[in-house]
Amino acid sequence: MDETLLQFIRHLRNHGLAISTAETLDAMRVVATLGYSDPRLLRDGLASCLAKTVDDYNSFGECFERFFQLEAGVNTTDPDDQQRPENDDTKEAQASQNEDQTAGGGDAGGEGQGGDDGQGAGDGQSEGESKGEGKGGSGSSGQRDSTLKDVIRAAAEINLEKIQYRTQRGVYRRKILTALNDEQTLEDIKKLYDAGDDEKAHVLEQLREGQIAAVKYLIDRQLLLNNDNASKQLRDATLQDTSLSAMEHYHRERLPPIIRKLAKKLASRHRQRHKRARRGKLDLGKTLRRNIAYGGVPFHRFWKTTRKDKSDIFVLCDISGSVSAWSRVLLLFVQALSDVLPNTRSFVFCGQSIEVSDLFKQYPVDEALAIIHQRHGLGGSDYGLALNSFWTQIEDKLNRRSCVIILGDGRGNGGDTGIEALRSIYHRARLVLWFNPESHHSWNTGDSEIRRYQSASHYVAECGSLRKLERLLDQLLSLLR
Amino acid sequence: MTDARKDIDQLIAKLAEQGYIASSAIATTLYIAQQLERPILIEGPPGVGKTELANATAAMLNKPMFRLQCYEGLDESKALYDWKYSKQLLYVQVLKEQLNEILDGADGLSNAVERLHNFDDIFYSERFLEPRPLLKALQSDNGAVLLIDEIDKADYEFESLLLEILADFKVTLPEIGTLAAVHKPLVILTSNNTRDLSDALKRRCLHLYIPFPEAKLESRIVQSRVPEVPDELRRQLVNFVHDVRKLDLKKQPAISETIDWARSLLLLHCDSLSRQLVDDTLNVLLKYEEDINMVGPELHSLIKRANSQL
Repeated sequence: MDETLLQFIRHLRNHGLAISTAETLDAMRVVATLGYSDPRLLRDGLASCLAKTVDDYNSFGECFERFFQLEAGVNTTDPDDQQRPENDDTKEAQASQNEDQTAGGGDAGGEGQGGDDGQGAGDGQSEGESKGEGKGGSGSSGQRDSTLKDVIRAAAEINLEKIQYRTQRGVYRRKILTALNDEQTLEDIKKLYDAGDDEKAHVLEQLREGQIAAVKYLIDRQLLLNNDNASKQLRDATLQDTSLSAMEHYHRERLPPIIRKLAKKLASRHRQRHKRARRGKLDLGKTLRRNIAYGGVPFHRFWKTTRKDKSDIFVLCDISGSVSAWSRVLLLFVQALSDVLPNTRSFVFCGQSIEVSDLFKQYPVDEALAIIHQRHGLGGSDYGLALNSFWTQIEDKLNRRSCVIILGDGRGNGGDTGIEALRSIYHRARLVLWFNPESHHSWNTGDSEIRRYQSASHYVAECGSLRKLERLLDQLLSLLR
Repeated sequence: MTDARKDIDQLIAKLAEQGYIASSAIATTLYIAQQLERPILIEGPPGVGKTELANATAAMLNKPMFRLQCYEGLDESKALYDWKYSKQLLYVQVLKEQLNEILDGADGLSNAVERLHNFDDIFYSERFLEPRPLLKALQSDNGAVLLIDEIDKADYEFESLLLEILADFKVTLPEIGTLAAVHKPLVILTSNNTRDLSDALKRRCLHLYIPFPEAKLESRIVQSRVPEVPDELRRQLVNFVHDVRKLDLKKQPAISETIDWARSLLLLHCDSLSRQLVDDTLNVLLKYEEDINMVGPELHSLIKRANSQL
């Protein structure tokens, strides 16, 4: 078993890459084919079987660089190869092609290339240890390789990946050294000194120092990776349950990838099939007609099908100060669900309702949202004007296949409520859903008109957190299937 | 230099002979696909050479290429196999004429049915099978390159149909049974990422993302495809295209458009970019009126930069 590779795959999984057992086996075959000696080659090879999306590529690049830094620090490698791997393959390719055409370029790990103390690529820790090893000129690259592999194997044996706290460093260091039979090594060094074989003892001592440095670096890096990952997972889970209004701007910026992930899950669950075969019911007329050419022998059989009409979705979002963050989230969600909600038209309002569907076609989602906010955002909501103009725009498009989702807190600052327009929409559409980010305890307090809007909606739901919104959309998609 | 590195460099050289300038990542993935006998799923913007890679690979390996263009509604009768209905019909008619012979001497209905039951039925047999691209590739005697183009345009059901082929290079036909590949073909799938592909499909493939190339690489591609273009003009037009790609366009100019533009400029016998020339030929590079209008005001500075960059 290639413990290094397995550890690397564990790191990738920790960073959100879904790697199956089959892909792990593929990666093992890739490593067996390419070897570890050429990092660039290894990176391209492993990326092809472990990174399956463009986003995965970026994570993979970072993980690869971070994980193999240790080897970069301890192994004899071409310093050029320690450069930060670009995500742009062609940059890499160009560089590698140019280098490979120069003598000796690109091929790392040449035996007997001296101590290679120019390992400036690693960080401070690995630099220290590489110098410790390199300058002595005693440890050949093969020996350093085996030292590193021993340490990694021992780390895997004692489950170093479970380390969580800095206070555990001493415990894990001791465990790894025990697994490496460090006590025996110390005894051997003592015996060699006693026997007067100072040279051998010195070599063994240097090896042990290298081992200890590698252990320290491995523990520090694992701690960093785990904490990084653990805190990321915790943060993502927390963000899903946190009320957006209570969320800092810094955290709101981290929502889009989480939303995309949730949307992908929803989309895969609700793939719409627009033609559903009623299995077992032969369409006799069609079968006979289509088989006339074959003398009426039914070579082609046709089954009765029911065509599922696609639903039209209209989304109207309040982007006034109080709920603009939520509207942003809903619009992000709706765009990410475009796969399963193909006929969606998006509108926003502070006063007049404005259609923004085209902006999403022209620009990437994040950019489109920024433009919408800049052009139409800020200001107080005027629900009367918004609902009336919304009704005017969609009146001739509404039918029994239409579903209208309105996101707002229903606080119109005491102005016209636009309830009649909403009632017209309610009578004509198949479904009118009102998502209110406010807690239902606040409904009908102050200038909230949400109870009135309830009378002209099929369902008013509180969507105080990302998870609640996800559930609502899940239910909606189930209805639309 | 490792053996793998040498093989991959050789692959790059062989693809270059076919007019395809491959990056190291592309060649590495292709090499691994051959070693591991795995399909490759290539993603990337349109016009970066995804389909061309399949063509060049087939030419390099000197193997036939079977291409399946995907679209919404594509089903197994177009992609995998169908029956030769007219031949089957003839067979039925011949059978009718031979019926007396077959049933000769059979007493009573049960005997006749028994006799028919023992009769060798070839109605659904390989003899009457009409192979479509997928099956043709599996049945190819000396191996083949199978290109499944724009898989993202096909339905999810079609993806499921592909899973068995991609995993085991086998296909199960309900009427006949399982047919395995004579020689495993090299399978290349391309996608423009218009929708997410299923994880099951991605798991079975190696993944390769081909982005727009760096200026140096694109310059080599243009040189390989349109060698008559003077060096200075090539440098300028590649720089110009790269600057244009930085603008917010509806459709970024792809490599194929850079090559078309290079050919157009060659036809006009020019040796450097000028405002008038770019104005007249911009529609070769940009395919939307809005994009042309957006680039228009920037032309002066774009040409100036393209001419000055080294």
